[in-house]
Amino acid sequence: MTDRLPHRATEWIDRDRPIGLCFDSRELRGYAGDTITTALWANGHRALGRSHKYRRPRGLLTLSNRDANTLFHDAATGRTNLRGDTTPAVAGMDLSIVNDNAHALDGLTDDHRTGCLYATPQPPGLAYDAFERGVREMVGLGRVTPGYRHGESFAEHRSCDVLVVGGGISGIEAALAAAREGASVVLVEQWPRLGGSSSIDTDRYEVVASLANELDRQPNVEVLTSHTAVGVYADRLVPVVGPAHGGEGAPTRMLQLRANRLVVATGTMPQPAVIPNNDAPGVMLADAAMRLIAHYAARPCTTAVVVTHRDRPEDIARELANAGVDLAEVVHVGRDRPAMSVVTDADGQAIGVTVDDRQVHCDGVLLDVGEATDDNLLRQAGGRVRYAPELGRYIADEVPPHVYAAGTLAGATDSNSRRASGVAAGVAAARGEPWSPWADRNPSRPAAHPFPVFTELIADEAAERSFVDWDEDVTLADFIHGIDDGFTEVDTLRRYIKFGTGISQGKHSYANALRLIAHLLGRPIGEAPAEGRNLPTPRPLYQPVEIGVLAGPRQHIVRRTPMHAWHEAAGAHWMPAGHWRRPAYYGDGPRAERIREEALRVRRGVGVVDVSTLGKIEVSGPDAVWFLERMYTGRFTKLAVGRTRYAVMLDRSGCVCDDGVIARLTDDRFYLTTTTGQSDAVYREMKRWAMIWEADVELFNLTGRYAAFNVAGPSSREVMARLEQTDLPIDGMPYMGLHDGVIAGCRARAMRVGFVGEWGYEIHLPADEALEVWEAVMSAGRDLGIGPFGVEAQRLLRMEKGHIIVGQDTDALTYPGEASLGWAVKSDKPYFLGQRSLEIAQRRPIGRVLVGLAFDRVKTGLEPGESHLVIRDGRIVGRLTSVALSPTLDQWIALGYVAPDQCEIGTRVDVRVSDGVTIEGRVTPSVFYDPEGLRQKEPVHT
Amino acid sequence: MSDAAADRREPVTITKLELHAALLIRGRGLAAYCTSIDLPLPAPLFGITAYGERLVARTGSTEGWVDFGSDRAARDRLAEQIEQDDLQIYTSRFAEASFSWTGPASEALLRRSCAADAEELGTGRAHFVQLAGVSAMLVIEGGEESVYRCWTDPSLGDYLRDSLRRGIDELNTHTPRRC
Repeated sequence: MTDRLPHRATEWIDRDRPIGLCFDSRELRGYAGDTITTALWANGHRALGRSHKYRRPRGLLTLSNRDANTLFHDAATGRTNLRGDTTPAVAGMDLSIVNDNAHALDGLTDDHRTGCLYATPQPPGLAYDAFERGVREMVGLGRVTPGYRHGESFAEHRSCDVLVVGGGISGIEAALAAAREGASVVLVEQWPRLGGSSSIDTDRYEVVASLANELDRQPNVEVLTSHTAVGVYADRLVPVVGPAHGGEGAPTRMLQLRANRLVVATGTMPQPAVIPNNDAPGVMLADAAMRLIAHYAARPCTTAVVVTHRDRPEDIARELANAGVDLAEVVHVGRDRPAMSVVTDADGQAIGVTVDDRQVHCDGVLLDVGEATDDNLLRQAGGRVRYAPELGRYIADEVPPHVYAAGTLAGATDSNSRRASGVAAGVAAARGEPWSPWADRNPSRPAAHPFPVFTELIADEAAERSFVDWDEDVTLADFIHGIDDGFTEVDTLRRYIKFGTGISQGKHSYANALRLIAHLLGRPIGEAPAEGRNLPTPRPLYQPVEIGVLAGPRQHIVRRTPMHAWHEAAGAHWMPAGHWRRPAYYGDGPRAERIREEALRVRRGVGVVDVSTLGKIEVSGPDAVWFLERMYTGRFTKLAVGRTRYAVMLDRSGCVCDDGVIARLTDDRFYLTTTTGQSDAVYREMKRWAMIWEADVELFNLTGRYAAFNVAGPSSREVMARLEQTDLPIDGMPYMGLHDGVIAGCRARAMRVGFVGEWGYEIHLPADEALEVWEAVMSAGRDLGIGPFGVEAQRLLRMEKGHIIVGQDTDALTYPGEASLGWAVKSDKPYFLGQRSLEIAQRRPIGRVLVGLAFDRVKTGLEPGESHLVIRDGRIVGRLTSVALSPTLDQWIALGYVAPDQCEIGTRVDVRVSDGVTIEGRVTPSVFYDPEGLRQKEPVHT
Repeated sequence: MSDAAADRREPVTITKLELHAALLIRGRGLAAYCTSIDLPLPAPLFGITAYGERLVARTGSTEGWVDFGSDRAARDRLAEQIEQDDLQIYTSRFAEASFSWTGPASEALLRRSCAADAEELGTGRAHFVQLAGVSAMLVIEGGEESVYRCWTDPSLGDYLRDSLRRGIDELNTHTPRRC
């Protein structure tokens, strides 16, 4: 049953919308507006999680986006590691604490204390491996739900004149002031309502409500509540995370805001006290208790002890009294500095405190010992902070252009000065005036509060239960040991004992850590070399964000050729090729049989393959030849107009990275193709080198704007001759020749190339005309048995011909000579990309050679496959790169790398197939079919 | 349109995807040459204007293109005219996928798909942007109601339009919030 206080003006729950949810299989009731933590707390649950390392029970601590241990798994949706203090409670949730292993590791405290990662000997062997596995089973957080899919949501992008982060009273004033100046303003507030710390105060709440109403009337202001700015990147790009649409349980989306000016008004973060057992459920920040009462109408406890640095914490006492909480005692730690600790029961829950050996019974210990400035985003934006001893916290000192600090971050203290600083920042931001520190312009600011932290020398045993950092269970003892080990700088100590990491990223621990270090080293805070102006910059993200949100929507880019629908209708089986979808083969029935039929059709008649996915680039201009000679290994100066030439491109290490065909259209204009996978990279590199070399060339990427298909086979000439065409000398076009003309009424470019080893034409033309010409070709060859062939048949045919595919028969470390491409490298040229590296590599003995391999007797189930290893004397000396059962030769053939002394024709090599069995292959020439190339150069009459 | 009719309107209406015949014109003497043949290529950069019934876009200092819609013959005529003059002005015939969208939530759709918003882009200018993760040229045509016209690589046209349709579905499902 839910235990709620009477209605109050400040509450965020909607009592008209009760919700039902489960926790540990027990049904409970909450209200819309509850977080998981508040719904459970209102139902009497106090232990809401376990600590990361020691598995100690933990309750709510801050209730303000900084609780590190209240993590839940929702079986209803499969979501895990839900943070209880920020995740809205939603009807139907089926919650459990993540990794709720009990005290299994409590006894291992001594073995896991300071620097254990570096200091613990880890002898090799099964025992330690088993121990490590066991520990990993016990620790850690939630388990990923297999198959869980993040709700898809588009990322959004916006820009604004002024972005205000923080919807407290200074942020509201900043937004209003900027809006009144005419700026377009976005105000981001992490909570569902505006007001910040003022929203829990009944008196100030009215002021906040009035200002919020005024804000709502401003047409140029957009308020994003329940959104968190999670980082600040270059040029004030601020990713903001929040629900994709109104309502609890909405998928989270990423909003990328580009702000001309950024106002940071993120306020302060109350900090816990470092005392023994300060992590027990029931111990919480007084601020959290006030939020429970004000926003969620939930009673924090029945009897409270307030630990405070203030002389008279009347506001806390008043709210507790209004909530029906008995105030057992107020412990003044600022004035009296008593020795105290929290007393726990057998379950680890707080049941009282000891104060100077005197025990006080209570079920709630409320910590009100000071605050730290929430300066994470300001420092990410390039701002610097300084320690203000009179205020007991860091405040903004310098900010980069276009960034402003407001409120307590700017040095303001009371409500009036926070509002005034907000107005000043908002006006300056809207006008583009520089920011100036608030404190400097207002020397009459109120007197500062002291900021006491328990740094008394607590006995070792108690020090190990006095937590500084809840994320990684870092205790006072860890700090003492770490400093004893010589880590006296904040940044190195932080890494050694691991504070300031994890879910809260130090938001509840950094201020105390700095004070502890200063105290233990006997120096004033803010004066250590790694403090003050040089505090480590908190890195994004400000709060944990689901990976799915960072990844954004599933934008699986799919590129289609103009013939896509035709292929689909023809029964294409698709395969991915980068972003493209290409027909692997067509028709029903056994895959191997279909591929064999398509291949034989090309060998015996005519087939057509869609090669629109090839990269296609036009290079023109006075420096076009010079440019291509530098980009590729071959020579093109003497390439005649109307001719094409095979071309190889190397990377800067001298290895093969792409190949294609270069065609000369005019003296200063070329058309070239690249591999499908490298088309974007080649174009990008060409653009880059054209700029670096200051080449007078124009580049135009026609890859998707042009289509291409290859009409291949002995009957291809007849098919082309039947088409209505002009300017295309079908009979007179030589091998590797090129002509622009009209085919089937469309202007097109025809190249006589033969990748598959038969007479053929590659037709290139604008994408909008391609389907017409494709269909005309199919129609013209119908009585000749023309048909499409897919990528599988194409690969098989080219392999029979010994043509390599860059990326399949080469890898990132393949030199041209290894892949039998040495002939395409003109080393005597003055320069080409990768030339120098290649010259160096060529001084070394060649390491492997690409050869053809034939397999004479292959048993079913022991067929060779791609990537199968070539073995000699138990060592890997090579691998198969392409393998096929050749329909032409009726034999298994392959291309693969062997050791140089194995490349002689007829050499027997061992190949280890998938299940470890070795089969024997025989080295053959890499060209298995028509080695003289007569079929592609001379017409064959069928 | 009555208020009731306006309420019933789709937040975004997206046109059919079409493959347009286009002609790229490039070369150092581009601006002077285009002036000489009365082709109003906008200057200095990244503008768009009308050329009869065509749209002409300036896409770089030495580069621009003309959208001929389905009139391939007109494209070929202009290409031949330019190439005959042999002034190192190059032309390339190609195809471009094109569609447009309009409606009250057009800007919201842009925000969901692009790292820029309408205010930044302004009207009547050609911008190369990333829409749903792919490159496209976008022009916002002003007027009583803005029309968002985009061109992209034909191989990406279906993907881009489908992606925007998904964005429209989301807009239909969830009203943009203002707290």
